[in-house]
Amino acid sequence: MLQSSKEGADAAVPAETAPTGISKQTAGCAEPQSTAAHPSRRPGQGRDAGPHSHPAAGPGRGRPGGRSRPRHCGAARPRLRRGRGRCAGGRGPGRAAPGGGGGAVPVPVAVPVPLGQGRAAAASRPRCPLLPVPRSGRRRWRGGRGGSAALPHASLMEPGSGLPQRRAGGGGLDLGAGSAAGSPALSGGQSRRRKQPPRPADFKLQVIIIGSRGVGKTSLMERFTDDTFCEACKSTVGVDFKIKTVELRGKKIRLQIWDTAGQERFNSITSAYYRSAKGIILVYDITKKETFDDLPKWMKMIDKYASEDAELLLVGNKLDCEVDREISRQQGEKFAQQITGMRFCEASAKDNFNVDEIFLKLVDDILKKMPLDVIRNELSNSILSLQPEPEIPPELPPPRPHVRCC
Amino acid sequence: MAAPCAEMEPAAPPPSPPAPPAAAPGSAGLVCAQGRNLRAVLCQRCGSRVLLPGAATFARRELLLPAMRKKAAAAAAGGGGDVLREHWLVRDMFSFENVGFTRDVGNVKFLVCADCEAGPIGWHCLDDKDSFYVALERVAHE
Repeated sequence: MLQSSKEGADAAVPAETAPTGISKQTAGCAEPQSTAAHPSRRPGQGRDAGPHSHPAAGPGRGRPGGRSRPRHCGAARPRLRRGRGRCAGGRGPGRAAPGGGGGAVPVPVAVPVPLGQGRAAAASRPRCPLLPVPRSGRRRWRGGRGGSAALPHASLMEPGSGLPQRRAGGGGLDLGAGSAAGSPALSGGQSRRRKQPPRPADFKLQVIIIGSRGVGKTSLMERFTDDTFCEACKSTVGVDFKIKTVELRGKKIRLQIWDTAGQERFNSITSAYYRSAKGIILVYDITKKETFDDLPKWMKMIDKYASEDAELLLVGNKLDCEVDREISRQQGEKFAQQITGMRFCEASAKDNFNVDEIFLKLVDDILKKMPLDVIRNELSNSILSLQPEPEIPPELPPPRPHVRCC
Repeated sequence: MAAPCAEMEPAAPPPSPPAPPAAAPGSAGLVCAQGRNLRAVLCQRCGSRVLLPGAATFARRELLLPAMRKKAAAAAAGGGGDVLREHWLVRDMFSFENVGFTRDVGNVKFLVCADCEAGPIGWHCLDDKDSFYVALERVAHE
């Protein structure tokens, strides 16, 4: 399965897993629950008074200006699932117009491939199916639960067709992802062989891990890539970033993971870290309240610098120290719910609980939104090191040189 | 990193071999006819896969790498390093399967194992963003 074609993998995989059987390992990864209010990206900041506060913008689309980061409309996801369903069923001539019931298509659940190489332990560990995406309601856009159902799917096929798409690529994404799956960028003949020569990565993604000092960010990353846990936390002053490769649903993904340990002074983490990151893992320590209290400050940085379509994941680490727990699971979940599109998970790098799953889920989320061609061209050797930028206090807006104060 | 790592050869443009350099007898079994690595490149300590077969080309260049330590960040106590001459040259950072990059030491980054951070296993000069060297001696081959 590892090296099979994308289509082959999509076809082969769903049979293996039970989408409904959520194992212990995934129980930790909670889907963010939609709430009645409009949870904004920034906790505590009520951005929208209600679903109809901005009538002109249509259901659920109104928002004040500024640095709000709405998530794109959720109807995209059901369409994408249908795309995957088609892949599983074989190649069609092209994308059929979405219009069928979004809930009718079974969600193919892929088995994540254990990470790292040559790990005998991985074979014995039960594989955790990826969590299926909720069919109804969008975890991304809280505004107007009815809105997502009301939106005509076809409108999303054309970016800017009346919906204020923050990302034109967002609408085109699903097009790209769906149609690209039909015409794999890699040579089709090669990819059909079971044993194929090493192929370049299908995707390149940047992921950053942020959080206060000592929460276990590095352990989380090391656990992700190898089955060893270093008791004495290695100093990460020396490592700038890592390139890691994972396979997900038959696709090879290269991750560039920036672990920001050693730069917990909020201002010193450069905006470039955030800007280019497709996935942001925000870690706190469940046994240390101050690491949880610091989360709003990290969210400020994310809101300020991160791309609007970056996937967010909140991780409460050190689950193995349950006796010393200071932050309850509900508190963590509540925090994540307040932020659009942020998932929550508790993990233990030491016990290897949920570590693989959270990374894979994050990558999976990112992939669902990304157009194939964008990703392939996006990353290059250009980002090799990020020099610290002049400090910008989070409270100040970014300098705008051409604005006259009047 | 305490020890500065300078190239030993005179300032010359990075090698761009139209024909692959002849491999030394020791590495004969590792280089294919086109000069690419026949076998996957692994970390000596943990076996993490650094490069897939065919992802790199053989290159000769004299590079000074600090001695391998548990942590790449640890100062090379006792100074010195090793002059290594045989490398796998990779043109694109994203051709690696798994690799770590240290912080800048001058204008050089060292490559380390992504999983166990053993190293340095490789060298990269920031002035030439399209060349990444992995020393044959610092890695294992599948």
